[in-house]
Order: sequence, then structure tokens, then C-alpha cells
Amino acid sequence: MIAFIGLVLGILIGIVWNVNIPDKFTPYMSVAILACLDSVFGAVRSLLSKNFQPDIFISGFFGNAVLAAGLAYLGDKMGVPIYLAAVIVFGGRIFDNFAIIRRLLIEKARSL
Amino acid sequence: MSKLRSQILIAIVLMILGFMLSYEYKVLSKKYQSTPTTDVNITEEITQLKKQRDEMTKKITELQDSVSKYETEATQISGTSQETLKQLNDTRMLLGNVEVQGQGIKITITPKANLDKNPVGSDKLSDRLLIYLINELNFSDAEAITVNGIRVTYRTGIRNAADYILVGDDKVSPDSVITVLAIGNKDKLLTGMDFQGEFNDFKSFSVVTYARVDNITMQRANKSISMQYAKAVSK
Repeated sequence: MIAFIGLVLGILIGIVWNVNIPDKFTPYMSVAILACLDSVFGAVRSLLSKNFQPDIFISGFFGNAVLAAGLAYLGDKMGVPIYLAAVIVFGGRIFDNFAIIRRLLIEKARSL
Repeated sequence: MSKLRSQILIAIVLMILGFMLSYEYKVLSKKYQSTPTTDVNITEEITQLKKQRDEMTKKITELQDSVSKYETEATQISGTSQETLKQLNDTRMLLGNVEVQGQGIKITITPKANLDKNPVGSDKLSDRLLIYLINELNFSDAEAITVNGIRVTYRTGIRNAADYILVGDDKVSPDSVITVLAIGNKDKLLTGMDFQGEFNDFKSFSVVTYARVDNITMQRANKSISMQYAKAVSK
């Protein structure tokens, strides 16, 4: 519940607060968001599998975001679209995690 | 890690995620809203600008007419200033600030691609060749020159800009037919153009034709000339 409130609060802050992040960072932020979403899906999955560990989630959340944004930045500097690697890996993992979440939820519903 | 602490930390992390998501959404939607550069908009803008330009040209002509009227009136009051007015008009003519007419020659540069002949290589008319041609005309005592109707004055710069050649502030396409008009002694100008090898550098990509013309009318230069840095030396 607290987590959900935090998410809603964050969305509201983003809408209301006019923060000016330079335009050049926008592409890196998109990749970072993808990495963050991957961590969230992973957290939901582990929550359903009852092996959720907050410290692993938090470190993964920030670590993946920084790594993805860093790779995108490095790719930009080298002229190689490395961000595609992050998109493919995190995109694939999101779908995998979603498939597992779906199965766990269905199994849970069946056992009721 | 206590349960409450970890829940608060997760809430903070998700708050960051929520902020990033909504911020990104806001930035991207703003970006799409602020790009109304459709063809229709550009065409409308061009039409409006053309209209504004025509109106401004009309206003300038009216103002010039009233200035000439005042000048004439002033010379009538004071007979001594007639010579000054004549000098002023001569200077204006030299600067390209008045419409002029007279005999001269017409040079037409037609790209071979337009004539459906196979051009040699991918050569095109360049700024340097245009400058060369204008220099040759000046050498043959041309008194006024236009390139595709654009008046070339002593302050007109010519240079390549992407796929175009800029003559002053106006664009000339090297892929289309370019007409250069020059007012002066038509025979002298023609002799200058007849000089052997005059158009050698043009031959690979274009066909150059030239002929005497008895009456050429040239528009005034559309740029006002002013000196900001050069000052007359006081004796």
C-alpha cells in the first residue's frame, strides 16, 4: 500500500513540478525507465514467489538504471547504438517476468 | 532491514519511478505538440511572408516617391542644390538603389541535365564561376548586373550554401537555368564574352549562350546599404 502511494505521489510530482532536465538527457532517461520497470516487474515476481528482498530490489533498480543510461551515453559517444542492447535485454526480461507473474497469479487463483 | 523501513524505501523508489514516467510523458507530449511543421503550415507561412514582402515593397516605393518629391521641391527653392541632387542620384545609381534601364547583354547558363544531354561528371555551376563571370562583365565595363533578377552591387556577396548559390540574401539554384543581365556598352560586353576560352570551365556541365539586348530594365537592389564601421577620414 505504501509502495502504491509512493508511486502515485511520484506521478503527481512529475506532473505538477516543473523540473527542467536538459533535453540531451531525455533519451538516456527512457532507457533508464525501461531498466527500472524491469526491476519492478522482477520485484513483483519475487513478491509472488515469496522470495522478495528489498535490498536486492533497490540496488537492482538504481544499478540497472545507471548502467542502462551509461551504456546509452557510451554508445552515443562511440557512434554505436548500444542502447539497443539495453532495450532488447530489459524488454525481454520484462516479458519473461510478466509471463511468470501471470502463471503465478493463475496458479494462485486456481488454488483458491 | 525492518519491515517498515523497507516499505518506505520501496515507496521512495517507486516514487522516483512514478516521477520519471510522468516527467518523460510530459516532455514527449510537449515535444510533439511543439512541432507543427506540416507542409500546409509552411506553405501558409510562405504565402503570408510573400504578402508582407509585397506590402513592404509598396510602402518603400511610396516613401521613395515622397522623398524624390521633397528633393525636387528643395532644388526648386534653392537652385544651387540641383547639382547636389544630381550627384545624389548618380551615387544611388552606382549603389544599385534605383531601377535602371539601358542596352547590354543577356547571358543564359543552361545546365546540360536540363537539356537531356549527359553531363560530364557531377559538376554544377559554383559560386566561383559566377563570381568569375561577374568579374569578366565588370572588366568589360558593365554598369549594372543582375543574376536571375537579383541586383549585384559592390556589396553583394556570392557563395555556395548547401545545394544553392547565395547571391546576397537570395538563393539561386545551379540546377536550373540562370540568366545574367548586364547593362553597358553592348558591343564591348559582347567582345568580352567572345574572348577565347571565356566559358571553358562552364562547358562540362552547361551550355552558355549570350546575345545583345537593346533595352534591359533592372530592379533596384532589395538590400539597404549602410556603413557601421567605416568612417570618412576628417582632414
